[in-house]
Amino acid sequence: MMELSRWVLKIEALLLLGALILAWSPPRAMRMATLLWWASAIAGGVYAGLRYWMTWPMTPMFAGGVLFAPLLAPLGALALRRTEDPACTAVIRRALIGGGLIVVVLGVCFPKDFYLPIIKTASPYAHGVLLFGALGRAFLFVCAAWSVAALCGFDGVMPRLFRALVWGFGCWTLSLFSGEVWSYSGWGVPMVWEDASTLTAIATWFFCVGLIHLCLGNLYSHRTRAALVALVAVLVLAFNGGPELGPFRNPFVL
Amino acid sequence: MNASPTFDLPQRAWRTLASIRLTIALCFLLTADLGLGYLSLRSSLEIFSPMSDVGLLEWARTYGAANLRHTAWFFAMAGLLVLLALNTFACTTQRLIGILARRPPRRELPFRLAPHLMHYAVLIILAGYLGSYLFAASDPGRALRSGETMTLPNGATLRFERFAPEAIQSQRIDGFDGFVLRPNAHFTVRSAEDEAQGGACSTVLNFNEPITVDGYGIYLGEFQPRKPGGGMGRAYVQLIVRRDPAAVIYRFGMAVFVSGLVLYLIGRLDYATFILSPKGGKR
Repeated sequence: MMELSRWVLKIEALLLLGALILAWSPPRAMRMATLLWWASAIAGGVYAGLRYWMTWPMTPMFAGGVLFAPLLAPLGALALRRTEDPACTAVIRRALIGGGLIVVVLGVCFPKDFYLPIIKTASPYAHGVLLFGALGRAFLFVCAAWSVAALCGFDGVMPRLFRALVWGFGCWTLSLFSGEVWSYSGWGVPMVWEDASTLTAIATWFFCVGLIHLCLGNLYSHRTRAALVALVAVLVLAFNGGPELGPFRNPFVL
Repeated sequence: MNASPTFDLPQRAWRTLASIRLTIALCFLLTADLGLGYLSLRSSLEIFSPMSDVGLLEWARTYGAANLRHTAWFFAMAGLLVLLALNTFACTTQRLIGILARRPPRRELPFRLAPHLMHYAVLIILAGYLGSYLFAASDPGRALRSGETMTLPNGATLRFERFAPEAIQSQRIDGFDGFVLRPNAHFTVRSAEDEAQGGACSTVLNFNEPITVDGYGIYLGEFQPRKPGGGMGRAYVQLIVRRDPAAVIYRFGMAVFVSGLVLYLIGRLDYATFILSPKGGKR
């Protein structure tokens, strides 16, 4: 079953690669790119379903770094639903597909899916950490995609960037609070020090708080704000995805 | 006429403390500091894990002071959090006074107050965490075999009776078939009052489902056997006993924060489209 899930993840990566190539092609190929993107999202959903099926009622270990990639397609569609500028739409789409591809390729090349689940993760709060965390990461990636559009010089994207940032922050907060309630019900402490990645999760939360205040305070130029907001995707990849990467595994070796 | 510098000083200090630039700087510094903390914690977990058991002050005096190279980020984080708490209080109070002075329509008031609710909630959570690390009493290693009794500091007793395990019956997880998922450890509990009156009650302990006796939380840390019939006859539970009077504070703070967050998000659905739109032009 584990091998099957790895194959599904490789298929997701290939579909995203195809979608990215087509997204850079002439506009008439855009429909095909969208189709491949949604197909990759379905593959990602199947991967998430397989990982959950293997571990239920416990949570799959170290899955948060990969599980949010399929959410980028529906959230991207939601974010772009009222965008009239096709050039801006193309930039956002490329950024999201590219971001998703990086995430999935990292998951394929550095899998950490071989750990047995922990019995203590059979808690609704542990599932909350994973699911709200995945939603939060996806929203923050959408926010970073809007910031790329802002850096490319498109007007009127800052309100949409801010909206995605706020939803990402909200979901990330719920993920952290779920973790706290789980920590309290499982160990009786506010924070379990054994899991160092809790610190990077809190670091990302503080970064989001800083970004929200930066946008609300209307400080610095649009470009500076957009550049700082773009960093949130790098932070999510390095701080929150990094601890969930395993040793290198050649994806071409069967 | 200019105010005298002495008279002006508290106002200037308040304005500096309430600055949104300070908030941003502190948040980014905390991000960097916690990133360093992650690296430090990964390489020296044994320094930090006793903090929940011995308390913050004792930990800082012993483990913290003796390993400053590994714990410097933690003390920096504590300092930054104190500054952030002061900044949050000053900033949000100043804005709250402004909002209330303008007397917004009653319908809008909850949505306008939502961000401030979240700010005050952060202060409550930080106070709760501090209280927890300062005042919680913890005993992480009480092991009981079937039939043994444990006495809590207030005189209440817990007697471990037996397991009624529920095992996983599935091949879905390699190597997990037949392993216990829910041990269902049965206890007979006599609270301090029961001890005097001769009463008792029966209760069940599981992972993530603690029992509470007279303010003491009893958590399941470990158990054996992990497979029914295994463990070579040595069935036991290892309990974590904690009394944390501040837990209710930070959990209340979280509830307040979530309420503020939900109100804020609902408010944005109504108002944000106008306020944040380019034509609305506020930002």
